[in-house]
Amino acid sequence: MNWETWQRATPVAQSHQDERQREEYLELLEREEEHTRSQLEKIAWLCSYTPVEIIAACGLVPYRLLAAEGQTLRADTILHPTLCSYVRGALENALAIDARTLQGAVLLNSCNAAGHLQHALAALYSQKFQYFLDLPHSNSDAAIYFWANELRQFHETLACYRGIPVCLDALQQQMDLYRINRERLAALYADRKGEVFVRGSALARLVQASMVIPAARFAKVLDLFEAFAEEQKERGKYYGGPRLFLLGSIMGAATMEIIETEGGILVLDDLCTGYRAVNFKAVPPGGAESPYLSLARFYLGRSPCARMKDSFAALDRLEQLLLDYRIDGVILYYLKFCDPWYYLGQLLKERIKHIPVLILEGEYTGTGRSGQLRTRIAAFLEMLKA
Amino acid sequence: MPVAGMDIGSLSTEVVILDQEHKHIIAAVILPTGASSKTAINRAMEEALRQSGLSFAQLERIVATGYGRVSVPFIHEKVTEITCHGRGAYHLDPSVRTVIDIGGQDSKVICLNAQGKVVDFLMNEKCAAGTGRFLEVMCQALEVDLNDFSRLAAQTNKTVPISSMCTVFAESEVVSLIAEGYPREQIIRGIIASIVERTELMANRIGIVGKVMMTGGVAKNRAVVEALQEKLGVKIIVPQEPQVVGALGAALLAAEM
Amino acid sequence: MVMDGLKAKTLYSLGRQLLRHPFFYFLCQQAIRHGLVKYPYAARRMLIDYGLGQIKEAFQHSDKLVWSSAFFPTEILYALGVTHFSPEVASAVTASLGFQEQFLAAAESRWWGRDNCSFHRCAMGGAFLNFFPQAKAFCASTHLCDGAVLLFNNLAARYRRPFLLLDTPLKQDRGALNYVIQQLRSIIASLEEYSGKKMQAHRLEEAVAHAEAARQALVEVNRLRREPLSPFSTRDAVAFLYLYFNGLGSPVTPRIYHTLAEELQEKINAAAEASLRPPRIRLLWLHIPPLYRSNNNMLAYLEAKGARAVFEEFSHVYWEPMDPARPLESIARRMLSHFIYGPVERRLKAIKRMVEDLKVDGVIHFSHWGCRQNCGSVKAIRDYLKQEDIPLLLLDGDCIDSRNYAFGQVQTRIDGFLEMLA
Repeated sequence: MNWETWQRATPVAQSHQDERQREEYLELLEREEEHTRSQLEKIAWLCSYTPVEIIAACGLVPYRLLAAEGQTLRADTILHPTLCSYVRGALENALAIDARTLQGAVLLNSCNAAGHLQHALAALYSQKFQYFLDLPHSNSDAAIYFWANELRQFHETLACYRGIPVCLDALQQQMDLYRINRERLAALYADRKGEVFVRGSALARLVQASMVIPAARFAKVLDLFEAFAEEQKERGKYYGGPRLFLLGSIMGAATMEIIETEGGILVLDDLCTGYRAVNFKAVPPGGAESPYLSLARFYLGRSPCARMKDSFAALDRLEQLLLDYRIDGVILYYLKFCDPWYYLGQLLKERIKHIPVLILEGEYTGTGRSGQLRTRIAAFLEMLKA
Repeated sequence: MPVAGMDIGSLSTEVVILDQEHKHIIAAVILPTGASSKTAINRAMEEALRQSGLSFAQLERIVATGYGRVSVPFIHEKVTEITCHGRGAYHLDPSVRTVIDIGGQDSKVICLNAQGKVVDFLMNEKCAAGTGRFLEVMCQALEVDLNDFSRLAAQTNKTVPISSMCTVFAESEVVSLIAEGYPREQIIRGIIASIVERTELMANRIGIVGKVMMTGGVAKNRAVVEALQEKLGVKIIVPQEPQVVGALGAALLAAEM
Repeated sequence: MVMDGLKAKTLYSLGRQLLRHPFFYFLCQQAIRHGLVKYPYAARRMLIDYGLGQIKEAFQHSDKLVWSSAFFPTEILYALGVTHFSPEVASAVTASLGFQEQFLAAAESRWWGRDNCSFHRCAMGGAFLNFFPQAKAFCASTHLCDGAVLLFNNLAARYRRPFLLLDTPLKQDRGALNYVIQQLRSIIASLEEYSGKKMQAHRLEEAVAHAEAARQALVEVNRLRREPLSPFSTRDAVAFLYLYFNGLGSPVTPRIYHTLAEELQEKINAAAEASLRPPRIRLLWLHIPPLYRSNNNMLAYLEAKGARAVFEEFSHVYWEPMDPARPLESIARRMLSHFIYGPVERRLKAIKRMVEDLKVDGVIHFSHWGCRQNCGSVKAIRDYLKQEDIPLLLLDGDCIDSRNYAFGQVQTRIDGFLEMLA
C-alpha cells in the first residue's frame, strides 16, 4: 500500500462543517455596500463616537473607514510600525478608496494611534472637507455640554460647507432612523442569550455594513437578515460548542473565521465594530432638550471604549453579562500595540476568576503566522470542551 | 487494535504507536521535520511501522498534533499540542500538575487537575525568543553542537548576560560577545539564563502548582532544566524521552476515541 | 543554596521596609546637606534634597497623598497642601538607581506585556511589589499619551480609590478653556473632600505665583543654555525635569532654577576666561534619553565624539506667563498650551523655534519603545525637518527597559550622523 492509497482510504476528519450559503440578505448587503462605495456622496469617519446622524442630516452618507483586510504596504510607508494594524489598515483603505465621491472626513482624537492616522488622512484629503471633533474622556455633565457644543459647531460647519441651512428636523429624523436600526441590531444580540442560530461573524459583518450603508437603505437589509435569522431558528439548527465572549481590540474577519472554524461560538462581543456599536442606553426621544444635548448624552453614555474614563468601572458590569449569555470562555484580544486594551485587559485578566480567559495577540488582517493563533484557539476550545 | 499519535513540530516530527491494549509503546520515532513536513510525516510513519512490524491498515486510529497537523493527509483527528502534552505527561506520571513544554517555535506551560484535564495554559508571545529555535540559532552563532551545550555550560560558573529579548537581536548580541572575546562557555550560560527568564515569566503568570514535568526537545538539555529548577525553586522531572510526550499524548487520545 | 535564597529574600524585604521608611529619606537628606555626596552644581544638591523631602513626606503623610501623572497641574496640589507622588518619575529614579529589572519583571509576570510604555510598566511593578506609598486618590491629565490615563485608571480601579481625570481638549478655544476650568474646580472640591481640608483662596494664588516665578527662572536658565560655552547638557538637565513635572507651585522650584542660572553664568564666564572651546557639534534631543545605568550611555558616547545634546524638548517653556490674580484660568491655559499635545504641527513649530534659538547643528529623535504618541510622530517630524533642511537622526531604544537596546546599532547610527554633520 502506498501513501496515495492511504490518502484515499481514510477520509480526512473534519472538525467543523461550515456551509457557506449565499443568503439573500448578504447579496443585498453587498450590493448596497458597493452602491454606497461607488455612487453616493459621503464623508469618511473612523471612530464609533462620530455623530453619524449629523452627517446624514446634511445630506451626505456617513461612511466608516473600516480597515482593509490584507497587507498594508502603502500605509506602512506612512505610519510608524509600532502603531496598531487597524489604523494602518484604515489608512490602506483610505488610499484605495475612490476619492471622487468622497467629500471629506471627520476625525476624532480617539487614541494616540487614531491621532496619527488623523494626521496622515489630513495630508491625504488636504483638498477636501475636514473636521476635527474633540471627544471628551468622560461622561460628566461638563463633558456632555462640551461635546454638545462640539456637535453643534460641527453641524453648522458642515451645513455651511454644503450651502444648506441647519435643519433640526432633519437631524431629529436621522437620529430616529439610526436609533431604530441600532435597536433592531441590539435585539439580534439579545436573542443570543439562548441558543445561537446565526454566526457571530455574520452579525458583526451586518453591524459593520450599518456603518457604511445609509440608514434608510440599511433598514431593508435588516429586514432580510431578520427573516434569515427567524428561518434558521425555525429550522432549529443551532451552533453547538463553547460559548465565547469576545473582548478587547477590534478583531478582523480573518481571526473571527479561525475561531468559528475551530468550533467556537462567538455569542457576544464588546467591540465598536460589533455589539458595542449598538449597545446604547435608551435616551428618551425628543423633549425640550436641544438635539445636540440628547446626542451628546447618547454617545457619552454608551458602553464605553477602553480610552474612556469609565471603561474600568464597566468591568464590574461584565460579570452579569457573562452570566446572562451563559458564556463558557472569554477571548481577550489585543491588537499588537493597542495601548488602551493592554492597560485595561491587564486588570480584566485578574478580575475574571470563574471563567477561563484566553489572551490572544494578533494583527487585524490575520495574515502571517496564523498557525500560532489557530493552535492557541484550538487548545482553548479543547480545554473548554473537556 | 494498535493506535498511533504523530507530533509534527516545526523542528522535529515524532510518531508513537501503542500496542493492541493501548498500554505499551511499540514504536517511537523522532526525525527532523526539515523543509517539507509532508516528507517528514511519511518517513516518520514508515519508520514507526517498520519498528512495530505493523502495516498501515492495522492502525485503528491516528491522531496528529503540532504545527504540521493540518497537513497530514491520513489522520482521523487533529488535536493541539496543549491537550496532547497534558495527556502524555499525565500518563507518564498522574501526580504531575504542571507541564512545561519548550518546543521548536513555541513554549508553553500547562496546568492539569487531578483527573489530568487541562485547566489552564499559557503560550509564549509571538516571537520565538526562549524556544528551541532560539537555542538552535544561538548554537549556529556560537558554532557549538547542541549536544555539547550542557557539558560546556558546566565548565564555568560565570555568566555573560544576554540582554536582548528578541532572537534576532540576541543573535547579533552573541556575535558581538564572541568578537569581544568572551569565552563560549560563559555565553552559553547567558543563553540558558535568557531561556529560563522567558519561561519563568510564563510560570509566574500562570502560577505553578504541584509536581512539574518538562517535555519537548529542550528538556533533554540538562543545563536548561537545572537552571530552570533553580530559578523556579521547584524540582522538575523529565521523562526518559521528553520529545515524544506530545506524540504519546496523541496516541493515547486516539486510543480513547 | 536554600540558605542563599532565604538570605536574599530577607535582605530584599528589609530593603523594601527601609525604602518605605520616611526616616531613611531624612538620613539621605542629612547626608546631602552635610556634603557627603559631591555634585557639580549646588542646584543639583538642592534638587535632590527637595526630591528626598517630597518622598519622605509621601511616606509620612500617606493619609493625604495622591498619585499624580506627569502633566497634572501640581499647582492645585501645593495649594491644597496634599502631598503627591509621581509613578512616572518614580520609574525614572528606579532606572537611574538600577532597580528597574525587578520592577519590570514583577509587572510582566502579572500580565503586562512588553510592548507598552516601560515608564508605566516599571511603575506598576513597583506598586505590585509594594515599594511605593499608598494613595488616597489618583489624579491624571490626558497629556500626552493614552497610557498615562489608562495607568491611573487601572491603579484607581485596582485599589478602589477615586480617579480624578483632567480631560484636556486638544482645541484651545473658549469652550475648551471653560471645560478645563470647570474640571479644575470639581477636582479641587473632590480633593478637599478626600483630604478633609478646605483650600484657602490665597493659597492657590500663591501657588500660581510660585509657578510663574519658576517659569521666569527656567526661561533664564534656558537663555543661558544657548551660550556656546554653556557646559550644561541634556545629561545634566534630565534630573531637573523633576521640577517641571513635580515642582510647579512650590516655592522651592524657582529658588533651585535661580541658583542654577547663577551657577551657569559663573561657569560660562569661567570657560570664557579659560578660553575653553565649545562643543564641535550642538544637538537638540527630542523625547527623553535612556535613564537606566549603562556603560554604553548614548549621551556620553556623543560627548566622547565631540558632539553634545545641548537641549531637550521637555525643558522648553511653551506656556504663557501665568497671572496669580486669575489662578484657575492661568492653570487651564498652561494645560491647553502643551506643544506636544494635539496636532503635530504645534510640536513642529516648537522644534523649529528651539533649533533656531539654540543654534543647533542637528536634531536627535529618540523613539522610546512603547510610546505610541512619540513614535507615531516620527514621519511628520522627518518630513518637516527635511523640508527645513535640518539634519535629523532617529534613534530607537527605551528610556527604562535596557533590554530594548542594542548599543552596536545605535553606535553605527551616531557615527554615521556625526560624519555627515562634520
